[in-house]
Amino acid sequence: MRSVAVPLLDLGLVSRLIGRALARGGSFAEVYVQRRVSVALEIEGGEVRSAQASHELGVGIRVLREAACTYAYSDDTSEGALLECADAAALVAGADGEVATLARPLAQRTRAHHADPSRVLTTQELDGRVALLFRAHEAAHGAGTALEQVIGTWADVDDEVLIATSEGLLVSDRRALVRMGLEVIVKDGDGSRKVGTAGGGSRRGVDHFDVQTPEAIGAEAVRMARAQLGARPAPLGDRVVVVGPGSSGVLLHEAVGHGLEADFVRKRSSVYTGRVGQQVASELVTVVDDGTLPLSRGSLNVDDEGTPTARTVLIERGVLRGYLTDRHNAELLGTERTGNGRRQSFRHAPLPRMTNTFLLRGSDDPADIVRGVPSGVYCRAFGGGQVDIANGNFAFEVREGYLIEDGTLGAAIKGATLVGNGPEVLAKITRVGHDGTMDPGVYTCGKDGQSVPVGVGLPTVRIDGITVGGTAA
Amino acid sequence: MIPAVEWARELAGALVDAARKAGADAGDAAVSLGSALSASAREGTIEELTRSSWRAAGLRVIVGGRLGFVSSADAPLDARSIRALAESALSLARVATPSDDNVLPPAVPDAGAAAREAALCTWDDATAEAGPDWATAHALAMDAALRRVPGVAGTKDVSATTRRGVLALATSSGFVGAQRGTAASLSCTAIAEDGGRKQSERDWDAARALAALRPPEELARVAALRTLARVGARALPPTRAPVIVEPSVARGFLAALLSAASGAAVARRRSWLCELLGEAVLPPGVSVIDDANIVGGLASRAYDGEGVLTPRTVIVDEAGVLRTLLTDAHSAHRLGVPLTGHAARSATTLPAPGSTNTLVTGGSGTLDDLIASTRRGLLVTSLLGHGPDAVTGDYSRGAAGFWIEDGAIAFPVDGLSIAGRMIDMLRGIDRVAADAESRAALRAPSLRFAELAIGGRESAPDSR
Repeated sequence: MRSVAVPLLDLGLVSRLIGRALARGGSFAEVYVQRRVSVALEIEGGEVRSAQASHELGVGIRVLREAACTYAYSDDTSEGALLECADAAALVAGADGEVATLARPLAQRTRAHHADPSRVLTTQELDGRVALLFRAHEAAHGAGTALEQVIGTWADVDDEVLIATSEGLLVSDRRALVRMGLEVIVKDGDGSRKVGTAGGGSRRGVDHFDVQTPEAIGAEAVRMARAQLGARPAPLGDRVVVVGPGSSGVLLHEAVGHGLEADFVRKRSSVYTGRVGQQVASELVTVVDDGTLPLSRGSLNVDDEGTPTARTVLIERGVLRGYLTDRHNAELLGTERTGNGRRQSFRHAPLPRMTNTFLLRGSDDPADIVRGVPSGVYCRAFGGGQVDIANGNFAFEVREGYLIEDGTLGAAIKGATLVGNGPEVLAKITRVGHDGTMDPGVYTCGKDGQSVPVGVGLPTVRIDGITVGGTAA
Repeated sequence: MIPAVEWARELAGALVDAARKAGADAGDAAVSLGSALSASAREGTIEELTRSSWRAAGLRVIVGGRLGFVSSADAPLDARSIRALAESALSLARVATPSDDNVLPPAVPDAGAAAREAALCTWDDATAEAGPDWATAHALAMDAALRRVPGVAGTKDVSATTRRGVLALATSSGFVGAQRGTAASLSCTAIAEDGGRKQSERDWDAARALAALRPPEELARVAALRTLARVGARALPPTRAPVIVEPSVARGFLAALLSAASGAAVARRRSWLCELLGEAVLPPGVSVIDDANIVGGLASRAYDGEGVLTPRTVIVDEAGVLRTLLTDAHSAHRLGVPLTGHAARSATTLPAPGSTNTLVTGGSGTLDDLIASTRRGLLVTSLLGHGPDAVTGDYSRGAAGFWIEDGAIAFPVDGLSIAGRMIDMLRGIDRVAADAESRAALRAPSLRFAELAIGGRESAPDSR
């Protein structure tokens, strides 16, 4: 068993790599070493279909010079391969580079870690994971509805990173991540099929499911599928929309979050470029990105550049306060590092990314928000979304929705997409509930081909006009 | 590269041997090895240069009908770590449920694979040997050409990439092989100001060989024209109308059809095509054919991820009827349907059915012909969001494009939605062009849906 105090790569070699990487005139060099062990299980119809594990160990080397960056990675961690990798990264300076920057000696800074570092994969642990999946499966079957299919998925990751830079930074971190998902399919009276999904996870490790029980996940998946029996086609066109709390935070993530990532801002490709200090949302809207929420899926001790994560107020009472930065874009924009430099793995250069992004709770009673809507749509469960950064247009998928008629929830509607424009929708938020919660820990955000786990959150919110992409007149 | 091919092949064989020695009844291993170079440019300089190299191994074992899989991107180099990986796969299999469906394809020592692979031209020396100079020069050329176009306010994601790799496969039934491949791609996006907001559109190209790529200046010109055409985009009130999709958008519909036709998806009841094998899924006259044997095709290969020859496969026939599912050994056995040789695989994933190069035949004319034959309708050039739902086939996405009046483009539109049920939408296709592009493995032509529900609003927020 390895203690976290033992570095993933010999520190003498790390220093040599940094020196080599700067040999042609780069102004900053960074070595990112990562070891990752992932386990994935799937049960279908009460059978364990497959059990999988993957092991990764690799090194990414980055060199910066002004706005330019070179990145080279290798999963061959022999000294020869890594020195070759450092030479490739040094290319940023071109052939005429001269040595301008000398690396500072490395100074160790080991962060506290969320997970128990002694955790190693044993057969008992595998059996324990399978047992958790079966508990969710049993709960779904025990919920009193005939199920055509039950599929459960499990994924956990044990990640160790070492980050060393030419500025002398040396950080080790260890990160656990666990996620369970359950999908059930039920047959509707007309022969169509309805899907219910539920799940959750966090950085707590397997113990997460002491808090969010597999039984609750199984019951929720069936509830969601059953709620859609007899659902009618969603309406078509502009409606007043009330979104329920939690995973509706996807809307915030797409409508505003991505547009506040500093790389888009620096390249002037975001609709929010140059708008700090301006009113960009209703006064009811305060948006925060917080990588320090204890054990949340999007949380980190330090980001993937070794910067401690933080709570960053992005929009305060509707006024844009700042952007999410990594080291590179913070420097080029002349702003603070917010601890949002994240990467999927050692194979990727870091980008400014969200951690846990949410809208602060308001003062309205959620039930009262629905009561105040004469005609509209209530959205309770959400799938994924996407945004066009340049013009702020976004779309996201409603998995469970209802008509609102005279202030009460009416018939269920078949999944529709909500289509809107970020700045426009934020301006149309007219009520904010006091029930703000984070999603249960299932979301993964994709950007430039890199996936990272994130948290999203939103209280019950009323939006006065958003396009519902249904089929009914 | 030749020694690396041998190394990959030997490691795959050694992993399977180790699995057998450790007690596996059957098993197969894939080893991938490769490297890539990518450059991106902005404002006249190289912004990012990335050099990637990978070396990964994956091992599937079957023991007592139980399935285990382990992969390592820290490829094992000595006998001890090879043995450790095999034991790890077996210990994972112990928690799985036994199933008769966990099978490998029957033994097919394939003496002709190497000759077939050579004939497919999946490898291009110029691409394999291109250094950073090719990528940087092409990225800079696109960047410069974009910025020369009046009205272009900026650029993003201007990049050039070359990639080469080998994937070796060994199975306990006696198959051993290694396939090499190269790919090169160019991509660029222009940004234009549009009264307080911005518009952006991209053009791109991809091929096995450098020489097959379109010139960077042409990509830049197309990206710029596409972007400038979007300036002034406005909303539409909700309506129902014919909807034309250009090839890049049609590709998404083809991909959705193919993933629903996956034997694994149907076996798991996670497909909206579950009950439609043998039924019409497209209008008569439109066929969908998967062909792994196209010379220079981006997904061409001499055999699949389980060592099975992939024949030309008619998925949807001339009558529009779904004729077969795409299967690997597991899904074919589970469903009791023919094995089509469509196991898709990388070193780090379990094999699963997937398409290769797929063609849509039976169409005629071009996108312009479809527009000219449409009195009033919507041309979709980009979509936002996800869809369709894999199980229900319900489809609803954000859409942008152009409004068509009297057979001609009238003005750009955005903030719309298009929605329907996949099967109804596909059966409702009433025009198919013959303008598919070879830059992607899925070669979809422009299509017209006879009528879809289009969502929108009365006026844009910042309409001018």
